[in-house]
Amino acid sequence: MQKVKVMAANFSSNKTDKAIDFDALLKAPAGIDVSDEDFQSIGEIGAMYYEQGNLEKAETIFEGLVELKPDSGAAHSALGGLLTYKQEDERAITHLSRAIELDDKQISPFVNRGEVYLRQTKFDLAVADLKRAIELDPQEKDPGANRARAMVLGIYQAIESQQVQQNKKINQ
Amino acid sequence: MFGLGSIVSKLAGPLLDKIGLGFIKPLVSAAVNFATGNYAALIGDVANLVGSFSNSSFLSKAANKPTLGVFQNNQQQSGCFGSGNKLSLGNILGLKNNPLLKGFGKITGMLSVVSDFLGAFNSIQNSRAEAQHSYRG
Repeated sequence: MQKVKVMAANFSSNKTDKAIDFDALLKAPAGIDVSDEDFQSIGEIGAMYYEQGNLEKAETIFEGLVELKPDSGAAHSALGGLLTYKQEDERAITHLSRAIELDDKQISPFVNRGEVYLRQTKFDLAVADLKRAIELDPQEKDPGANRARAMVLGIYQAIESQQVQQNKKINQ
Repeated sequence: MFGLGSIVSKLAGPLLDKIGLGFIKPLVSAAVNFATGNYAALIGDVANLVGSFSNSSFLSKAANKPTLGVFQNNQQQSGCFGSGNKLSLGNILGLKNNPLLKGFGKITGMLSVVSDFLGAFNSIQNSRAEAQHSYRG
């Protein structure tokens, strides 16, 4: 049996979040077989708790899914989304970046990482992620991608009002 | 530069607050110094993106908090957990008691939450079935 070894010592201080080798740190338990359908259903129970505001139970479920299948982009995306909501930004970015590495067609991790970068005033990175999320949903149907559009609009509003103020100063 | 965007922008303020994004405007306003010109590329990107929006209807379809991806999408489509598959309490309890999971605390924690949920779910379903049975009887 392989044991999970996630020790602080393994997180080299000179590495960025993106450079963390999750596969080396987290090993799925050998001999444990959970079908894709059951994995999905467990994730949906986690999502239900999240919707209800029971973040503790939702986090317990998503952390368990990540430990169960460290190469699941869906599990990292869900955990990263929940951590974005909790504003645990560094942990969120770690899982969201891993979700994108595993499956760059998922919309949610781009939207949520964009939100975290926005909070951190890393505007270039935020806009790049929000743009990618918007591109993945050309029909404007996905609630997450529409949230990304709303964020872009918020940035736009701020720029617009700054521009108006600046013009007023010039004209005075 | 502020053509279509201005129209959409005027509609957006209260809606952004509603979906938890009211923090953006003051944050961006405080951080961006337009006088330096360092943000020209960013402003261009944002203006192009806003210009690509078909109208403002996306705002009413935006998630009001961070989304979770495929677990949430399927749940919203099916209206309940499970999408009709056969996740059973027996399977979960069997997995929870599997000695191979010793040392995997996060998985066993997850299985405890899931088994509690399924236990409660089954109990409600049984009560409902009994009530229906006695009503018919």
